[in-house]
Amino acid sequence: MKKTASLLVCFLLLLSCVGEDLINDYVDPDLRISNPIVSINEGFQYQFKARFFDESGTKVAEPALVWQANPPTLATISQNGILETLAAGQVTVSVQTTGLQGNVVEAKLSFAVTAVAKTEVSDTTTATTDTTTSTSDTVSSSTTDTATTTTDTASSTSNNTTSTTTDTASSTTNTSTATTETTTSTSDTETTNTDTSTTDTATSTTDTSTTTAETATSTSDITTGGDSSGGSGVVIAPQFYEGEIISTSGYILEGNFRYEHNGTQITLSLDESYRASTSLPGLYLYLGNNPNTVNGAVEIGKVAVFNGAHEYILPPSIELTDYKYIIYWCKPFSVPVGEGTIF
Amino acid sequence: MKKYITLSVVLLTINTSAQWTQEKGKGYYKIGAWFLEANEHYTDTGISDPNITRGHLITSFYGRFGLSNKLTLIGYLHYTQVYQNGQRFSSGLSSIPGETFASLGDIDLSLEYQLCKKNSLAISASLLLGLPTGDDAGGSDGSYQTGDGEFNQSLQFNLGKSFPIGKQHFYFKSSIALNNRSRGYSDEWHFKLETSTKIAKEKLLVLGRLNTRQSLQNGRLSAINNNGSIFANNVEVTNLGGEIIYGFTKQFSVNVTASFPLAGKVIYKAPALSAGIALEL
Repeated sequence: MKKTASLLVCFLLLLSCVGEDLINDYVDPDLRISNPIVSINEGFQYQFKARFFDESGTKVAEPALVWQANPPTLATISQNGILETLAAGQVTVSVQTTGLQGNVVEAKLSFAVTAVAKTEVSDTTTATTDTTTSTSDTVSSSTTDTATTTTDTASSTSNNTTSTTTDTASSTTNTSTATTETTTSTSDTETTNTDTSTTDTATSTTDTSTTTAETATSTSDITTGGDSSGGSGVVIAPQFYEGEIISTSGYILEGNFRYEHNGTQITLSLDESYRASTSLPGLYLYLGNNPNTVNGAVEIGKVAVFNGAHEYILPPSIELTDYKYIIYWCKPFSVPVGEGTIF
Repeated sequence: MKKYITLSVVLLTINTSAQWTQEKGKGYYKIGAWFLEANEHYTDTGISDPNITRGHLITSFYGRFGLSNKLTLIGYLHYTQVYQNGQRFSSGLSSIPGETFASLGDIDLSLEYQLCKKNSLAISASLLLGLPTGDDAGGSDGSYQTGDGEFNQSLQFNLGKSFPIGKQHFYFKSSIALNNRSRGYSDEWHFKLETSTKIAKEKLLVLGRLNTRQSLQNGRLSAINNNGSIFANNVEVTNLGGEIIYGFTKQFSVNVTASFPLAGKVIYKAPALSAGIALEL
């Protein structure tokens, strides 16, 4: 009798042994180009970077990457990710690596290679007189428009441009007149351009051929309507992402977010639509690359706002494309209760 | 949650003759173990959600002593172990070890007064005081609670009646209680229905139970102002359970119980098991 009772109690005590739960934390491996661009000027170089996150969402330190640019007539890319643009057009850069399970993982980015106006003459003109400078501005502007929009029909457009410029230039100096010619010939061939320039002043011609790209860049920037290149010839992709927080549990958790780099730091803003159940125990916010676990994720902090707009200012060490997911995590239960996909 | 567990254990541990108060100078004493392990819980919307496996093991002492023929003193104290399983990841990431926390739980003291006893009918009232002797912030993250940190007072009315069906005698019991909770917790209603009968030459008592706990939703405690507690407030549950008590002698018996949640909010979704040894002196 006593033995039976003792066995019953012992059985219950044995049940309380701490065991182990198996967590399926698989995610699709993710290769991402971490510094995407929207456009780049022809003749420019750009260093692409890529990050690879394996099947657990863990960042792989030095993945073996294979870069490719298509079509190769417009751009080439080294195996270090350095892009060199050759001609205007739409280019796709792809990068590949192999996942832990032997599968090929790829990321692609398409962007425009923008034609550059050949404005060596502007420099030449600038170097001449103040009056000419204003003239050359006119020429430069017209030329750029022409060059950007009508590469194939450069001839006729150039003529128009030339005549316009000529009108202006003729009232200034001879050098300006030469500029006009140069502009015209630029549309035709660079060789002609060089020859013509050489006719004017050999010294400045040499300089011009070197500085053309820079001049063209700034001209192009203006034409594009202002980009984020800061004059570097590259338009960086927008520095923000927007999305929606959704509940992955039985608790209410929803709202829209904006994940933005404002130049100095990243902010995560939740708008007025945000709301979370106040019954959620031990709710914490993380950024991670695996929504199934916070292993490897960065803890932003305990959730203190359960309704309405609010904002988190993230540590400066976090870059915009470091983390793919916003994770709402119930710490006591070690389970995700909501998430937002950043990109 | 912790308070619910405590009350569940009390209910499951209670002598089947609870509505019949103890005779003066007589006592009923019981030691037992209560166990629950869950990898699911009911959310605040009543939906079932997964969680890392957590368990509670409570070893307890329950005693009733007749201060007079109408007044019974009841005490319940327990030692609670709360644990969480470790986590192993399919990706091969480093495992996270489990955790265990144990301490003395909240102590319940109550007085039961017999209001009426006529033939097969008994009515009593009891006042229970829940003393916050447990730890409401145990473990590494404060969620391994062995008490809720609040002093609660529960006023309960009990009705018991025995009746025959054919040659078989049955007992029917019911109770209703209002649990007044402090520190921002919502107050609660508790209802309980129980029926039992003796079989096997009256050696074996078989019981069936239905009990429910409903929140009045009048507390201010929530995740906003409660530091990470699991199941902080507004816990609701309806359980269906049973118990078997085998009396070796008139003084000595053992019991086994099981309880299954039918519905709930903010509470584990898992059956609870218990066993105990009782002595009536």
